[in-house]
Amino acid sequence: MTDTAPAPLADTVAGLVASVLGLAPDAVDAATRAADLDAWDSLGHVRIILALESRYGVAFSMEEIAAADSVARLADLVERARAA
Amino acid sequence: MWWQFDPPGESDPDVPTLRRAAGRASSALGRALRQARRRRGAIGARALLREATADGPPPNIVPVHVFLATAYEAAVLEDALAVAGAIRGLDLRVTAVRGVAEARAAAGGIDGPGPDVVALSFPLDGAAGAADRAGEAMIRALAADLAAETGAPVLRLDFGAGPVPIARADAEAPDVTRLHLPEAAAGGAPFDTRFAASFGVMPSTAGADALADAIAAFAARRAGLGPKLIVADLDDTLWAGALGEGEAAGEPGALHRPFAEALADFRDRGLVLAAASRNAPEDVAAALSRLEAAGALPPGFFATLAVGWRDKDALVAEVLDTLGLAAEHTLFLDDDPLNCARVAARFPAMDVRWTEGDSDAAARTLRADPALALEAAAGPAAGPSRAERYRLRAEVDRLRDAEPDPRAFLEALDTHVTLRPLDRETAGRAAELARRVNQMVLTDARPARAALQDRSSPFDFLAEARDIFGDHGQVGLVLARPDPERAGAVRLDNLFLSCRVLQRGIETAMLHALAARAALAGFTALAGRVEALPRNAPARDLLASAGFGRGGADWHLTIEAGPDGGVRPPLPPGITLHDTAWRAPT
Repeated sequence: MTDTAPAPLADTVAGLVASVLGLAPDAVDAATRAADLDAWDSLGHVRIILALESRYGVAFSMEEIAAADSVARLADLVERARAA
Repeated sequence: MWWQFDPPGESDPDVPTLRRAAGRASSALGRALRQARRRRGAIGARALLREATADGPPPNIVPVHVFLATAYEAAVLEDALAVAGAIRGLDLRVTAVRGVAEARAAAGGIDGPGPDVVALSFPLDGAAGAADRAGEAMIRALAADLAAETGAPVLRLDFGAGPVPIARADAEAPDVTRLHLPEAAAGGAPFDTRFAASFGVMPSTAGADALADAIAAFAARRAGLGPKLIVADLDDTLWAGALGEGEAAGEPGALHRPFAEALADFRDRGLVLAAASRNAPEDVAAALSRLEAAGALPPGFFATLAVGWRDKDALVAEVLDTLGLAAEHTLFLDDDPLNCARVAARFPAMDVRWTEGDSDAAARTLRADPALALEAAAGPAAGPSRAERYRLRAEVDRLRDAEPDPRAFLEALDTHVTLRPLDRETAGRAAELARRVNQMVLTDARPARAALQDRSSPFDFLAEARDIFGDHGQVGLVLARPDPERAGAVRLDNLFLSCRVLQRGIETAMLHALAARAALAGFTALAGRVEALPRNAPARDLLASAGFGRGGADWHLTIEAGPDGGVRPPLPPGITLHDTAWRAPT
């Protein structure tokens, strides 16, 4: 039993996005979209995807990668890939 | 995993873990980063590393400038390179360009100090490009041209079907090394096509890690941090079971053949092997004799043995002392995680590897290591073997300890220094000295083989040394020419002397030889310059101790008769100089 509940996946993904893009942790949250951040450009998107795949041991398709343009969608993607 | 002996088991390093490891030693940080990369990928590990070192780089990390040219978006290697470099104790400072023409243009426009190494990744087959001879010829020419242009060694990287990395020098461009990485090292898929619409084909995460590990290994070698010595445990590592246990005490169990064969291959290619074993010396000697008699091990398989009941770190210290090798050039293997932890604690710079009790798997890991493949590609150097060279150094050090009077020590050593011309035949060895010497080197001007072959100064020479203990081979290089700015002076462009033969008067003998040649040719002075480099403290004192006076950034010595009637600086006692290669300038 722990004192704190596990952080929702979207928060964890937001932390990872901030870390990969070299941003302060509070610069990204569960509601952040790619369009909100200059650093989340096409190369930044590739790095986020690759970091998520390494962290969770999953692999995404081209269609999934193209559609995952926000923290919420990335978290959803990870959730579904882990459940598959 | 082999790096997880302290403590053994799975873990997911966080920022405090990396920070603590960085404070201990580069090898501890390297092990923590390997685990972070395994758990989070290079991008995640890089993010941790960035946070853990936000207050400053880890101590003892070595900067290396890399010029990287690729067929794909090189930025995708950025994280992998930062992590792979830090794993090997390097801060890789990368200048990256995409494309052949861009590489040529960028290399031609480098101002100031050039790169330390050049790396090329232009896949010619598989997903990232079409196989064709024209492409191969183009990349091969690019590699040779970049080696000549930058003066830095070049690494060409490819993926292939083989089971292990294979490195070999280009026969026509010796400063170019080609390394074929096994596709298996990248999980069978070194390239990723999913982002082709935006970036073209790029390395997969595993492919990027494999490429980055190879580049970091090449850079480490260039920085003088390559592996030279493998120290292996015996019980449950080289052979099954423990000699001192069981009914057949004193009998070795079955030899772990893949492990022994891997060690034998590295030995054949110039690495030195040693054993450190907590056993009775007579049992180990008998066991090795039996294995040799049965043809399972070649005679003299190990250059030295440290056997006894002391702690493992003390045995490893004995090996290093006997061979005169440093911890940063040593790879240690043991099946016991406690022994690994003990050795790692005593030798923070050592590459310590836990076999996890599976020597066959350890052999596969060794064979897959690009650092060992690159070291093996160099092959045994001309002259005495590496093991023999280090044995010689240790013998000399023991004589020095026994003979505290410096003059008596040099006379007892009876060193003969023979000068050889710098020509096509010796340029390869000269380039190796120029690349590798880090202590007795005056400046960071390190010409590559092609530039050395282009020199035609009568004052250039290599120095060969032998003494009462044996032949040390070609150990020194002097690059000097008539000073274009000062009439009557010979300018010492650089002097390199292998660290194996330091503090035996050979560096002063080389200066004496240069002064003698200069005097014969009618010159009246020597001029030189010394730069403060990270590890060249011995060289900084050389010119002053040889009698040079300082004027601004330059050091000068007027060549005149010394007390013995010869030129200054005088030849140190106990050294005989043989200069049959002298040809007066025409």
